[in-house]
Amino acid sequence: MSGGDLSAFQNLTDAKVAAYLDRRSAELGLPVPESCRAGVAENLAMLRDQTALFCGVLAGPTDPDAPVEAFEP
Amino acid sequence: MSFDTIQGLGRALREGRTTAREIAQRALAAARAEPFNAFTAVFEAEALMQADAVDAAFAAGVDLGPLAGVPFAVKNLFDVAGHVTLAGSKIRRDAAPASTDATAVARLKAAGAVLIGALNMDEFAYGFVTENAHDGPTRNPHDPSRIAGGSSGGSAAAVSGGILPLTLGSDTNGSIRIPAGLCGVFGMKPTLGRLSRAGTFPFVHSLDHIGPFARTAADLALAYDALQGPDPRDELSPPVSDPLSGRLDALADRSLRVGVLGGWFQQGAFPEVVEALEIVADALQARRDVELPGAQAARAAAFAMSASEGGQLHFDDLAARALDYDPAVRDRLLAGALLPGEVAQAARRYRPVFRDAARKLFEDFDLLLAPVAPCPAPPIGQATMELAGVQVSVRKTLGAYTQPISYIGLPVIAAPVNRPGKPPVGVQLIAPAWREDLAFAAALRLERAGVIAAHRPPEFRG
Repeated sequence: MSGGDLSAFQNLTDAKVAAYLDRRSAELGLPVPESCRAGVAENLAMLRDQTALFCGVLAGPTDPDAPVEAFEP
Repeated sequence: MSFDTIQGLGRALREGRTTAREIAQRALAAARAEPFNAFTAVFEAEALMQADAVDAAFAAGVDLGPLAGVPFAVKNLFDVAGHVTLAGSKIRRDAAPASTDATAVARLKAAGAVLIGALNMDEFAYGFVTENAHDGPTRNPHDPSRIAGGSSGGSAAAVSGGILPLTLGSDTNGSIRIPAGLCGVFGMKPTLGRLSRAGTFPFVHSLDHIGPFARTAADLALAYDALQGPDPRDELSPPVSDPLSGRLDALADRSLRVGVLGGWFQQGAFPEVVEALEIVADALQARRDVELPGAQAARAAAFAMSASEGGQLHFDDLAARALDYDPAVRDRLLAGALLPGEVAQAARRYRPVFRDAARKLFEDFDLLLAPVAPCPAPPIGQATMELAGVQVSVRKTLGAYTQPISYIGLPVIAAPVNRPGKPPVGVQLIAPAWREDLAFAAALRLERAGVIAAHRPPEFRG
């Protein structure tokens, strides 16, 4: 995955979340049982919205290769 | 049921009015008969052996300290030697028993406290309700039709309901503070790393904290002191301790500059929650409407980190046996596992940005106040609630005011506001990193002024 994938995830429309779920599930070899699909898609959509909130306030484009500070409270 | 405090039990023991065995027997009987579904296991034989060892020490003239003979229990994600660490799951029921106690359990036992059992929780600590699909819901002692909160719901209910004076829980996004607030007891989430997490089943390693529940601030301090200390098994553990229980009077008299967080931290709060916050703010002469910028984004980042890291941790089990998970947890973990890795990385990158905003605020304040949760305890089984005119998920919303604070690892005491005859409401006493003493200073002063108090549930008042 790359920074482009982050942008693509953030730009998913509701109608395309299910397709993302299927593609990512196949890529990772993580099967999503049929009975879980609706709940997982709903959570993906929520996480997409949450991601927009903090990515929106980070200065500049997100560089996937930039080191992340070892956090100290 | 017994509403003895740790300090009260200690006096009774030292004055020869009871023995550690008698205290343990009463606690074991209460744990076996408790009506809240707080316990998932009771360790009768081991508890009596520990109690007898405490009595033997007293008989030999050895006083193990203020926790000697005090019964306690732990959220069932703490390792207890010889027992399977369930972490609220079905999947781990066949796991091998733990070979050693978690550091926190070992420290309380070494201080003479007697381990009575293990406590109910949301599966893998991923929730705020303790409506566990495998072990059933834990009921709120103040109203058994309502949730105890979570994910350390059993820990809060056991203290609130008079089963035990001391329990341990964990807090990744609010899982100590929320049940403490909804059950009307004291709960403490220390600075990230202050108390060793070694031997606890992780949820999100970079956000996980552990801490105690008790019915008074002084009891909370006794437990906190016993739990402190460096631990090579947890890389975040600090090299020094900061014991507090020997200087509580001085702390209670300390002057404090207090601010009340506005904006995100009161958005959608129920009127009784705002009213309770105002009572505490008045007592501390706090400045109102203090803004901590970026709190909503911080909460979102904590959400994303939890889903992503939790999903990665459980990846293999999700791939092999997803349907054995609690449905409410499974769908979130699966979604988290499917996220691009850059989501969690961006969430981690925002963390120092928000921490620095909080540090700047603490240049003007010693303590910040915020509600624990937007509402008192919702009914068991209620999936949604109205917040600021919008229907939202109970499970995902209860942590709105706690998640930004744990995201940057600040120490907090969740304190029960003294509202006799009304549903419990808690307030977060938020201190700068590594300054737990300031949160205790506020808790002690408020408790001595009668502003905060852990009430007995209605049916146990007498």
